[in-house]
Amino acid sequence: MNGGRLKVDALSVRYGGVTAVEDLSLTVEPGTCLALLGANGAGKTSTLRGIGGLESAAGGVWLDDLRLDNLPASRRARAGLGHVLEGRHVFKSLSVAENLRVAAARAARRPELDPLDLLPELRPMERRLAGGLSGGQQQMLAIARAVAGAPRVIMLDEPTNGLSPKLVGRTIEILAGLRDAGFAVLLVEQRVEVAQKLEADVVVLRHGHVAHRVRGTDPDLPDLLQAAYLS
Amino acid sequence: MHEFLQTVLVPGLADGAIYGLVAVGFATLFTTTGVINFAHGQMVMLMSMSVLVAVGAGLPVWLAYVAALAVMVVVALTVEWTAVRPFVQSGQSASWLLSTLAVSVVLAELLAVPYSGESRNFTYGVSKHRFDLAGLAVSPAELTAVAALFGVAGLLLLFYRRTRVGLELRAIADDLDGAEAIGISRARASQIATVLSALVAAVTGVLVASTQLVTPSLGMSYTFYGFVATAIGGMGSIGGAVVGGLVIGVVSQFAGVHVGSLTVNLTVFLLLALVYVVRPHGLFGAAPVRAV
Repeated sequence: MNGGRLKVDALSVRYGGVTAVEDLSLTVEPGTCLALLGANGAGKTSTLRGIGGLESAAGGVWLDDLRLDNLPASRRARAGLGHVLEGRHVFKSLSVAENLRVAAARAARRPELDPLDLLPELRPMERRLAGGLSGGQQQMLAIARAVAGAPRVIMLDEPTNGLSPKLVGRTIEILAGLRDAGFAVLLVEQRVEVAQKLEADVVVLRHGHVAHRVRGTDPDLPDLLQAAYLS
Repeated sequence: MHEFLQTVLVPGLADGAIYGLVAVGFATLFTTTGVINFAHGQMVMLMSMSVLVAVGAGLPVWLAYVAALAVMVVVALTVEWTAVRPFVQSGQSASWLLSTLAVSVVLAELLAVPYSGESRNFTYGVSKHRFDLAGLAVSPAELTAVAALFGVAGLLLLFYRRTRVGLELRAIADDLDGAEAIGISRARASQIATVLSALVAAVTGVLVASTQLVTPSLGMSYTFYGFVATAIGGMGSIGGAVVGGLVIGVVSQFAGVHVGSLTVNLTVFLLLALVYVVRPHGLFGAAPVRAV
């Protein structure tokens, strides 16, 4: 079984006197996808970084029965919390193979899904430096690297940002594959169609608060989003 | 030609190897943490002072070396915790500059305590007695310094390329958030880099003590020469540290012999200024990538 259950309870993230996220609770079950949508500054990235431990945050974070919020980011990752960061953050001076190897070396268990089976397009470029890859290739590597770490939950921050329409479609395919393999997928997105095609549960954020909780297939979703963006 | 080799090149390369080792110590820490430890020169002197104090306390020489290495590791971890870890890949250069300089001052004061700051002869290292090698008078200590520079640099390059921990340190250097997101601990990486740097300082300290009297106040001098070598070679580049150290050694020796001993520091810093004008990121340093 790949996936675990991610539960977040009353998460708050503050930067000095500015509240980015307040009292946010959500649950992502194994084999499902939850998408956080909202305008820039709504608190989507801060939510993922707070859950992942890259920003200090108040509130509870559990992976199944394991409490994570008192652990540093690195130990949350080793516990099974995969995180594909906004902007890819691949290790540019390492080769593609080294990027995957360094992630696998830190994993607490053997990954049940080989990242190169999920993303075979990376095989021909294993020896290339990650810094020399295109933006789309780096995005694929960032996802593969997260999978190499044998996560049970995968959080992805705007994985389609800056990609061509073809690569957006490919990314949706990969995310669906992860969900169908049993991972719990928590996704931050700007593109509503990604959540729709993944049939994800959707949480619409506005000013750090939950504005709506709907299904990605809900026909009212575009209108709700428009209202949230324009508010 | 023979005079140039004997008075400039041999002593210049030997001194340069020491500066290069100091610079390699800088690079080892800087690559992973983004911090330059301005207490590194004091760490160099801490090794030889610790051996002297331990032997003076009655320990056999081999045990004195073990005790000195233990002192180096403990002090390195303390320095890491107080002056390095808060600033790992933070870009807050003013903060780590002050924190490591503060540690340097504290260590300098402590190093002066055992012998009231006076110089001591060190007879537990490599011999400094010269012998004839192809017509040139060289000492085992000078040859060992050059061999140690290339040996240490080579081992470190292998470590970074071939080992799991080395890869992790490179990953942290590339992208701190990305590294933490895959489970690499910033604190552990910072500790490993600091201890590695301290071990390089230990080797350097023994070689410094083997070529001259052990004087606690030399630490700051090695810090500055090592820093100049690092800056000339390129921050974080181990190969650059080797080249930078050797260049500084030969140029300063040439200036001392042919221009005048008072011009040595001036020449070294003029060389640094020249390199900065021509190549602001050093001979082997990478210019920061700017997104466009």
